[in-house]
Amino acid sequence: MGMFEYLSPEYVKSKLDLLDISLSSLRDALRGTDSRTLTDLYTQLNNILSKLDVNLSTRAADSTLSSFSGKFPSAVTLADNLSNPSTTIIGAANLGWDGTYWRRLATDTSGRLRISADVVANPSNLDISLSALRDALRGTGNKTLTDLDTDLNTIISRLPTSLTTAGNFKIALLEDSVGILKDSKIPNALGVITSQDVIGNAVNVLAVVNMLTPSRQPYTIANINVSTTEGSTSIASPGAKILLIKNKGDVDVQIGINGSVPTTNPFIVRARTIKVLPHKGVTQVNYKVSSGSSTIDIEYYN
Amino acid sequence: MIYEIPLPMPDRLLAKPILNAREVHEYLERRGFRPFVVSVDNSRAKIMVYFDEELDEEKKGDLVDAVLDFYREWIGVAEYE
Repeated sequence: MGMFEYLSPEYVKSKLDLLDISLSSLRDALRGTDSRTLTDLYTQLNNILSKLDVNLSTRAADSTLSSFSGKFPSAVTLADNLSNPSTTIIGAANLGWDGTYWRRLATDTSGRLRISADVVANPSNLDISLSALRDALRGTGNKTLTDLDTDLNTIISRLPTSLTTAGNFKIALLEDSVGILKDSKIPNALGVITSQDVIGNAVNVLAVVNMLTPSRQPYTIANINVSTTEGSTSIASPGAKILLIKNKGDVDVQIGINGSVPTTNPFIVRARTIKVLPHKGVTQVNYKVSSGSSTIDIEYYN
Repeated sequence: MIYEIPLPMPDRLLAKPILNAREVHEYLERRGFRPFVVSVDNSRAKIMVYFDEELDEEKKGDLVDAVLDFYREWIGVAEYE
């Protein structure tokens, strides 16, 4: 005998009514708009897990990190004239890299940094070495300032103490030298022109040789014809210091010295007269007459 | 010693007299002579040159040539005129 058990149709209907969306709609709703699968989530979680190499409990707690905040001053905007901030002193080891190792920078016992510069920037002005500068300053004679000081001291030792602040050089001549008599031989009475002074003592006198004083052979240029056409006679350098013109004719002769006879107020040597002319140096004499003719002699010393 | 050199074509010299004997003097010095005086007589067309010592014959000829060279240049004539 069989027994049949069945569900109430109302019950079945109530359950079937729960199937209100399709399975594909459910799948898409679970995967979301980026259509992610559980595999995607697994991959991401694995990535995160690989970076959590230690337990978070081993990391500094927030309370620990908060204790550091007191070590730093409050942040401020940088500006001129900021007051001196309070800050935690942080030390650092100064090291230098030698190309292979880091080396500690060293000081001497006074705390001064010990430096031996191997390569430094070379400013353009440091274009010669110190030794070259030294040698250039000392020159070919290799003289030092000490050498100069020695020589200067020698010079000073030879200067008379009578050198005044006004620059006047007072010196007593102790020896006769070229052109200078020692002071004991210079007479007080310079007006004495004989070899004895007023009381009969022998004295020396100073003499001045004037530049006009002739010192060479005198010459005569005789019988120079003078006509209305101007003529001229040159005298070799340095020229005549004393010039004598003798007019031997009966008409006046007009003279030009070192140039033509002036057209107005010329120098005139009257007929049958002689004129003597001292001069710095006559190197040419010009002459003519206004009418007729004459004859002159020129004599000169130079 | 005086050497007197007559100058040809005196009319040209009168038209352009030598008023500066020093030019002749310096010219002769450039030619190697050392006169102590040179005198130019334009009216008689001659130049007198004074030396301390007598010149030999060759030098005398050279002196005449030098004076005439100066003179030709002064009056503006060529040597072949």
